[in-house]
Formats: sequence, structure tokens, C-alpha cells
Amino acid sequence: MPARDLDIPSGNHRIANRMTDTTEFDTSIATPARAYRWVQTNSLRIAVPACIVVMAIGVAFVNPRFLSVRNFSAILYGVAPAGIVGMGMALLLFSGRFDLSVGGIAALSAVAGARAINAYGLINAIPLVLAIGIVCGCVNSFVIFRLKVNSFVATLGTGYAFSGTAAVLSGQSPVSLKDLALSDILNAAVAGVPLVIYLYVAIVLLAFWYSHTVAGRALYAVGANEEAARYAGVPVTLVSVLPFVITGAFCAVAGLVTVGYNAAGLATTGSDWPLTAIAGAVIGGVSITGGDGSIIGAFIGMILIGVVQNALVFIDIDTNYQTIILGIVIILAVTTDILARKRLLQLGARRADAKPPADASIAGAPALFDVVASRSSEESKP
Amino acid sequence: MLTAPILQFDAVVKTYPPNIRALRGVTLGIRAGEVTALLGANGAGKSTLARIVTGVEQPTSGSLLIDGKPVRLWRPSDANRMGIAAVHQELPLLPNLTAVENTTLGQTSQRFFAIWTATAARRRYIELARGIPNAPPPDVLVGTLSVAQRQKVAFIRALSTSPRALVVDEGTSSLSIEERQEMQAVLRRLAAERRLAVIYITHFIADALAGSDRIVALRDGALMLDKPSSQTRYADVLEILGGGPRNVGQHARPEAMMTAQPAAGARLDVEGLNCEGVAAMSFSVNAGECVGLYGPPGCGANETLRAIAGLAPHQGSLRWNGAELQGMATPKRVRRNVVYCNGDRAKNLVLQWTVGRNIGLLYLFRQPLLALAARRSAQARARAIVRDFGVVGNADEPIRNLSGGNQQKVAVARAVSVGTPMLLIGDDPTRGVDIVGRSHIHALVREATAKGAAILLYSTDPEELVTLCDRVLVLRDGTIIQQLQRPNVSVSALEGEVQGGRHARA
Repeated sequence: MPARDLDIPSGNHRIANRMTDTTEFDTSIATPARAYRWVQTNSLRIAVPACIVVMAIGVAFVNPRFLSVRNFSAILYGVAPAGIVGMGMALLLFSGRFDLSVGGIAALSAVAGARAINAYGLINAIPLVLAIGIVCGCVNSFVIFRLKVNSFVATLGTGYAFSGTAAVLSGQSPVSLKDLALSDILNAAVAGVPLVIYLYVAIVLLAFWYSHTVAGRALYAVGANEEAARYAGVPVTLVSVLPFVITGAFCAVAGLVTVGYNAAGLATTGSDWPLTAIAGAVIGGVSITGGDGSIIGAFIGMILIGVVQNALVFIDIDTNYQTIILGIVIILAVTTDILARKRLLQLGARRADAKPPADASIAGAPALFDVVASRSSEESKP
Repeated sequence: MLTAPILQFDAVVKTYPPNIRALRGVTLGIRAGEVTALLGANGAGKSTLARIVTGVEQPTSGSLLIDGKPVRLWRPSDANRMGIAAVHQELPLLPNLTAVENTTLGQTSQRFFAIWTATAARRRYIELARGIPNAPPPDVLVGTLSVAQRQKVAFIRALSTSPRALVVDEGTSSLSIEERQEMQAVLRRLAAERRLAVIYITHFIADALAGSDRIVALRDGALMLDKPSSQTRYADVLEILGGGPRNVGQHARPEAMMTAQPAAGARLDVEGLNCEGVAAMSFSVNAGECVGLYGPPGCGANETLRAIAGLAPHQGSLRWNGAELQGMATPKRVRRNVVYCNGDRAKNLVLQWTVGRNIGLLYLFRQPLLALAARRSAQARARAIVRDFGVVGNADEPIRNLSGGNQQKVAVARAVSVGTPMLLIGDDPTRGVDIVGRSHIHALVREATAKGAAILLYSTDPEELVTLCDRVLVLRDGTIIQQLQRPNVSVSALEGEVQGGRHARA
């Protein structure tokens, strides 16, 4: 790197020179070493997904039909409603927040959607249901950001309220569809794949796009360090509200999908979705404490949940056992993720130590007790 | 006071893999009843030394002797057992507990199943607090205390184990000059009365000279100085720290810059600013001017800065570059190049992110909300900033790998590169940064001023204000009590204002 002529006052050339001198060392890493480092740092993080893939291969040997396009299409079909919700949940998790009301919003959308379809027809019902989802997201935002209630508690409460409303709307029995157009559309095969899967993929792409916009990138900043984000001019509230609204809309879509699946709107729709959505994101490497993860990861995580459930069916394991196994998989995923993060920190510290002395003399001298300090700061994260 | 040292380092070497020698054979004795000031630039080895004494790390070779017997401290609790207590610079106290509860936290001296006896703990607290002037009452919540008061709780906590040696690591860096003096007096008194051996690690040479019995200075892991404070001169220490006399305090700003013409219009006019702790404050900052704020904690300087940055509710008029900032949220102000820079790096920066991502964050919302975030140009800009401002490190590495001084340099550098006109609001930006890092940041601020930036700077270090500022506003109780114009800005003048004002009021 050529020594640049810094525009620094004449009295300080000594400083200027020193500043350029100290940057002149090579920190670039050769590609094989970089690949090795990637495996080293991410081996734990990919451990659970890798296990699931290995398991899937095993199941495929036992029953080759497992790997068929038809079966994978069935997996995606089953995962789609919770998966659509999971995309919104992933965006929320990036910003360090949760939405436990997704099941309630979906139930409300399903019941209200079924009634609206019966009353006004499908075309008119769709915008109405989307509006319901968005309003629910706005209610959540109001409670969290105006009334300053923690997102976990706030959405736990609104979730009850939403599913209660759904129960009131539905009465004693499910709201059956008179006209099955919605079911027909969702199940219509395009190139051998049901249309609902295209819808799912479209939602994933939408979430992926969003996560790469300015608003989406800012979610990570808010999740990692809200104060720093504020100092850097991130409109923290606006950025944090948007994913709640988006999640609300996604829940409405998912609710409608279940109406199509069941040919009826059920008030019990999505009761386990909040946890499935969070589990899928976490298995896909999204941090539950915020600030880290990717939409693609969350998507893959959700598919892996579907694969586990499906594979267990293929090797004839009782559904009740499936739930136990899924629970264990989730805990393993979170544990390995925590370990991976710790490992990453250690590697980072070691890398800082492994620099030429000129630099290490500055970088390699953390504060007294920093070991203790960093440990406690990690634990204190909510 | 020539007693035998209670703590001795015998040819202590500490090597970090692969071959970084943090300590290169330090032999040193620490005596009871003395305050030993430990000085050195970041990386000189003083933190390593402190970590060895407190059992966080073990020496690679050589030994640590307590009362002449070699000991091995494998973990902090070993050090505690040997009577070595530490007061950490970041003050890990719990704000939701009272002062007493904080001092008894994590003490294993109590039996696990024994019922915690509040009265005994309180009695102990009151007894220890007697030795410390203006110590906070036992039942007050720590979260409501000032930094200085918390510091005292931390001292009481350290003393509650009845230590024989006390390691104070930059314990005073977040305090005002008066409070630091008070703390030094406390340390001296503790050393004398309790026959404590105090190791006082600080960045401030003047503090070390005034507040200690002995000065020990390290450079590049080697002991360079070990003398009674009374026989040590400021300049000697300065040379050892590697700053060199020209880099510190005394030098005036170069002539060329003094005559730089400020760009027209780009100025901040504060009129009748009211916010929590600030009453009807009015002042202005011109382009190409650095205005300092100085005053004791609670003087309203931080509140003023946060109000101007839009981080706290406020009334009154704030005109910047022809536009009224009042009623504008922080993001809008940042887009108008009003950038706030805090001295607390954990608040300023996302420490787990790379340097480049941290730089990019300030620029993120200069694009439309739903535009795809530009990555390549952001990376290029980050690399350019890292290179141009001489940040020791790489744009692609986690910023937590950088030294504190370099982290703070990134924060200041990204702020001053947003373009002109710009208003940099520095809230003690060099807090806890060593002398070398400090001079780099000063050079940065000076360069920005020369290019026409308006700078409003609060600092707990009067020397810093003398070095950088054209004007200094001295504050107390939320009002400006005095304005000093260069060349009348000096450390003694600033301290005189703060203290003189107090006498007048009392």
C-alpha cells in the first residue's frame, strides 16, 4: 500500500507516517485457508442441518421413494403455511424481537377469510384478509412500541385476543367453504408442482429481498445494538415496526392457505406455529438474541423440520415420537449455535493475537478481567 | 516506608502465541502502604501485568511472589483468596440492586445455605464506607447513582474481602478531574490506614504523579521506570509512554489552520435550549471551529449534546446550516451530517460486526428505505476510510479485535467523512483511550476542523480541550458560567473556573 499523503497539519507528520506504517501488513488469507477457516468456524453451526441431511440420505436408502420429486413437493406442501409465517418471524428475530401471536392472526384470518369468501367471493376476500393481518401487525406494534411492552409478553397477550376473536367469529363449528375455488387454485399443478409451493417460494423471495434492503439491513443493527443503530441514524422504531406488519400480512396469507387446505376456516389454525416458525429459523442459524441469521437459512431450517417429520413417517415412527425427536433437534440446534458463537469469538481473539507484534501490541491488550467481562455480557443478553 | 514488598514479580515473561511477548522479564516489587501508579501505552503490558496479579492469566515464565513465597494464581478466586482485590474499569455493578447488595454479590465467604444476613452486610458496608468521603448510603439503588458514586461502591465491594493488595484499573477514567483527585486521596488514605498495596493503572500522567507514591512505567513489555513519584518528572514519563512531548497537550494548533476561513452559513446556533438538566442554554458553533464543553458531572454537558443529536427530548431553537433541527428525529439530523459520537464504544459501535459494516451503518439511511442496500460501494468506502485514517486493522475483521483506541478512531473517522457541512458532537470520545490513540483521534478532529467541520466536544480531560478547542464553555448546573477563548484556554484556567465558581457559590 503506497504511503498516502494525508491531509494532516504539518506539525503532525510523525503521526501521519506512523498511521500509514502500521497498516502495512498483509491480512489477506489464501483461499484454501479461508475454506478451512470457514469449516472451522461454522462446523458446529452446520452440525444439525448436516445430521438431518445424513439422516435423509439414510432414509432414502431404506426407501428410495423418499427422494422423489413428489415427496419433496409433499414436504413443501406440508411446511408451506408455517413456513410462510416463519419468513416474517425470521425478519423479527433479526431485530431481536418475537411474535407469538402469529397463530392467533392466522386463525383470525382463516375464520374471517372463510366467512368473507362465503359472503363476498374469493376476489374480494383476499384484500380483506390481508388487511386483517396488517391491522393485527399494527396492533402488536402499538402495544410494543407505544405502550412499551416487551414483544414476547405483548404478542403472547394479543395472540390470545386474536385467537379468541377467531373462536367468537367461528362459533361452535368450523366455517366450511361453499365454493372450493381457493382449494382448487392452491392445488392446481404447474409443471407437476402445486401452485401453493410457488406462493411459498414467492414469499421466501419477498422476505429475502426485504432482508437486503436498507430497512432489512437495519434490522440486524437494531438486533445487535439498538443504541449504536440510533446513533448511526437508523430510524429504529420505523424499522422495527415494519416486520411486525409484514408478519401480520404473511400470517393472513398462511391463514388463507389453510382455508384452502381444509376447505374450511378453523379457529384452531396455527396454534403451534409460533414455536415451529422460531424453531425453523433457529435450526437455520438465526440467532434468538437478534442481529444474526439469514432468510435462506430460516427457509432451509423450516424445510429440514419438514424433512425430519416426513422421514420419520417413511421409517414408520409413531407421530408422538416424532414430536419428541423434533424437540430434541431444536435443542441441539440451539446448543450447537451457542457453542459455534463462542468458538467464533475465541477464533476472533486468537486471530487478533496472531498478528505481527507492531499491531498486536495494541490489539492484544484487552482490559483487565476481559475474560470475565465478556462472559458475563454474553449471559446477560436476554 | 521501606518495608519488604508484599507482591513481587520475578522476571515475569508472558508470551502469547505465536510469538508476541507482552511482558519481557519484569522484575518489580509492590509495597504495602503505598500507591504504585502503573503507566504505559496500550499494549505496553500493564493490562497483562494486572491480569497476572488478579489470576486471570498465568505468566509464561518467571514467578509471582506474595510475602516472598512464589504462588500460582490459576483463577481470579485464587487471587481473592490471597488477598488481592480488583476494581475493574467498566464497573460491573448491577443497577437494580442496592449498594449493599452489590458489595456482597458473589462472595463465597458466606455458606451456601446460610440465610443472607442483611444487618451484618449493612454494618460491614457502613464501617467500610466511613473511610471513603461522600460514600453513597447503603440502601440506595446503584442504578440511580452517578459514575463517581458507583466507583465508590465498587471500592467498598473490593474492600469488603479485606484485601492486602488492591488493583485499580483505570478506575478513574470516567470521572471528572475533581472526582479523580478525591479518589486518589481515598486510595492514599486506604493505603496508609489499612497498609494496603495499591496498584493504580491510569492513562493520566498528571494523576499518576500527583496521586501515587511510586511510579512504574512499562514500554513494550519491559520495565522502563520505577521511581518514587516525588523524584519523577512529567517529561520523563511522557517519553517512556512513546507519545513524545509534541503529541501531548502543550502544542498549539498550527498557524495555517487558525486562519482557515469558515464556510459561510454552516453553523450551529443554539438558542434557549431546555432539556433535562439544562436551562436556557444559548451558544453557537461556527464551521471550522471546535467548541469545547467543560464542567463537573451533572453540569448538563451530556444532556446538551444528546439534545442536539436528537437523542433526548428538548425545547428551544437549534438552527444548523440554515435549518431548524427542533422537532427533527435523530435519523434526519444524521442525514444532515449532525453526528453524535459517544465515548462508550459498546454504545457507539456494533462490536460483533466488522469494521466495514460499522462504517456502512452510518451511511445506510442515505439510501431510500426499500432500496437494496449497496454493498460494494459501502465496502469500498469502508476500505478507503480505514486506509486514509490509518486505522490499525482491516475493514473485514470484527471491530472487537481492534484496540479501544482504534475502535474509537473508526467511530470518529466514519463521522467526519460524511462530508461537509458537518457537525461532530463528541461526548468524551477519547474516554479510556491511551495517549497514542488519543493523539491520533486529535489529529483526526483537527483535520476535520481544518476542512470546515463544526465540532462540539465535551471531555472529562481538560488537556484534550486545551489541545483541540478554539473556545471552551464552562458549564455548571445546566448553564454556561464562563466562556474561554483561545489563547486563554488552559488546564489551570478551566480548573480554576470550575473550582472558583464553586467557592463563589458556597
